Amino acid sequence: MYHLFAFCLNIFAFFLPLINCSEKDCINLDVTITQKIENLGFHRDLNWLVETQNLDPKTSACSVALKLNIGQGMFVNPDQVDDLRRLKKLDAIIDGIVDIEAPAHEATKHTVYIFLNGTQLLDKIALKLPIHLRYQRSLIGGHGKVILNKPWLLVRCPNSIICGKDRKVSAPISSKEAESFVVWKNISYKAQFDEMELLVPVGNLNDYAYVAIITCILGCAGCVYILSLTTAEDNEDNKK
Amino acid sequence: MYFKIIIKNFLEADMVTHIIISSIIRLLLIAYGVFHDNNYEVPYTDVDYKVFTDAARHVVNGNSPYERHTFRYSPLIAILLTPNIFFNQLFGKIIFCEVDLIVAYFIRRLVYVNIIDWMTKYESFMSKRAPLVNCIEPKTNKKNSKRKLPKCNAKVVTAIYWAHRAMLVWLYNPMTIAISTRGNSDSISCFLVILTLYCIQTNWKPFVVGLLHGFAIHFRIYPIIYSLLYYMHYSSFAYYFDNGSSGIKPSKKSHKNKQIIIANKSKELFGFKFLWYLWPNYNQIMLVLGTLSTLLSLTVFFYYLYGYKFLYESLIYHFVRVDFRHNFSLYFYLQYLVAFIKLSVWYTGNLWQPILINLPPIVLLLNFSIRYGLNKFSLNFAVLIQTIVFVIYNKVITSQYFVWIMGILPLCIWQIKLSKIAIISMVVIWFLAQAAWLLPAYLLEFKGEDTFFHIWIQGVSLFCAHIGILGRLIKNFIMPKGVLRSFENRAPSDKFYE
Repeated sequence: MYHLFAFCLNIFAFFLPLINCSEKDCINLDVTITQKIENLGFHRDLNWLVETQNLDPKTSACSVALKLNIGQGMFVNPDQVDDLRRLKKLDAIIDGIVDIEAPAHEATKHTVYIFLNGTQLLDKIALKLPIHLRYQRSLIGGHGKVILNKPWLLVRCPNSIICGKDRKVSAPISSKEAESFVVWKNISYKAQFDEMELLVPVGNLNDYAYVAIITCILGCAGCVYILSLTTAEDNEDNKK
Repeated sequence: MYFKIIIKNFLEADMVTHIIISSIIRLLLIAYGVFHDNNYEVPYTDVDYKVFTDAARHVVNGNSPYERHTFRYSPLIAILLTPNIFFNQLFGKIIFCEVDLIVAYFIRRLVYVNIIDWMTKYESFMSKRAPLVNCIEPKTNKKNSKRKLPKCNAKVVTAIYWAHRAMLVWLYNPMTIAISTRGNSDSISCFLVILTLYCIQTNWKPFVVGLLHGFAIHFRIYPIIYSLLYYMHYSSFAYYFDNGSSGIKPSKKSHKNKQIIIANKSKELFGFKFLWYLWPNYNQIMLVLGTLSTLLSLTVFFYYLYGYKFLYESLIYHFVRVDFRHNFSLYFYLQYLVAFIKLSVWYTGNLWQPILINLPPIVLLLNFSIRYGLNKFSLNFAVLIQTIVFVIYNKVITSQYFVWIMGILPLCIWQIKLSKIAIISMVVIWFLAQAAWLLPAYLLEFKGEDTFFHIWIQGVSLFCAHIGILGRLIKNFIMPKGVLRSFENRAPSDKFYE
């Protein structure tokens, strides 16, 4: 009995420093993100400011990324993202198929990953992501609504651990290796903004009656007018 | 005063000078485009140019150009622009501008040929005046400087006068300049249409004309609307002069061709005899065969290379397309309102609407094909009118479509009798109607204001402006009235070249 007790104590004594060590060494991340939307209409710019207080120097080895789930009502243009990446303004990739012409209800969701390593440390990073709203089905009055999700902050540190019990998600390693997914930690941050609802102008079905009638009549009237001109020409010739 | 002289001297400069000046303008704009794209948010270069370049990159890598989404053109354009990848990004723009200059040359040639041809036939038709001295067409236009011209040669002087102006209208048209330097391929489709017209009117073999026409359709589908027109042009019933007005019948023997010079009765167009007009003769069969052979062989070839995606993107898509995003079209708002919604209302419902939308342009196109197609001298005008009808009745109109009209317009300026004031007011009305459309469109797209209704109103007014302008053109077209009664008033006086 005594031996067993001594053995357990030994084991405890053996692991104690390790536990202490991991609590001490884990990196504390205190991140704040501010979001601002520029422009109105169908083309908008999402501006994010990612700030980290009391930055631990160990984070220099970490990779940081933002993940944004884009719903059906909007899209990020892959060509534009390619351009931004080429011009080294934004290191981002899109996961999923983007049909830039589809209306909101036929569109598919996609995900944008923005990698922040290019800009080095987390201290203070400003980002700008252009998004585009899709056309929506006409309604009987009112505006269409699109919900803009909050971005996820993903961190991956190869040699150290981040404090807190955050969810793990799988995401691409970097924009160059978009195919190979690895596990990232989804860090909770202080958001200085609320989930946004963007308004999209949509066609008003109350207009339908007269729009339909006038448009169709006008098209036909134009046709009749032009036809009358060409036959009038013949008549004129015959008179002479 | 001095200003007037400078302008006059400038306009009278010879073709080479103008080609050089306009190519310099275009090169400067291409250079400006590079500067603009690097410094401003809204790019100068057209979206399509990027699409072409990306498609060309796929071709260079040995893939299908249709892997680039929204590439909806002939694969030939991607192949043509491959130097964009391994040479320079600007290569394509330079090619488009070169094509512009070639188009200018062909416009000049074609108008010249048309006028000489018309005058010769007109003379023998009227047989009032003694025929002019056989005027040999000068070998090169360059040497046609004003002083070397024989004074008697009114025909050549008139022809050059109009040919030169036609060329200038194309070369210095801000719209064509903008389109090519922004990297839009429409000058190539203009070139193909004009080349086809040139071949028809310089009596090339109908089979060759057909080959070209098929190629033009493959390149961009819209020339398909001219098919019936060309077909009618080769009809045995086609004539040069209407018998209606002058009453003087030329002796048919004086013409080597067996074609009917005058129409017996154009009133029978919609009678039973109409069907006889469609019965093919040898030339028409060759035309159809030529068209089908290039069109089908190119389609099959690229289908074999790139599969169904090619067929869908470059052909089927253009027929089934419903674009509900705002554009100049009269039908945009109506289409957007009913898109993705099932409505069964008595006044249009889902049955009547497509008929009411599609029928007017079809009726007009058929009417013009036969009415103007049978008159050999109104071929160019018919193409112009058909293009206008097609564009203004299209369900999607963007400003690049107007270039199709701009390419054909210079060919007809000598056939349309309009005063300066009328021309200026038409141009002003047209631009105003477009500008008025742009304001609500801007507010919608960039400010998020619900201006759909206003855009529709502006679309309606733009359509009315188009119809009005089209009506003026038809009213003032002087060909179908048999002869150019007032041609003398429009011919330049001899003083012009003195």
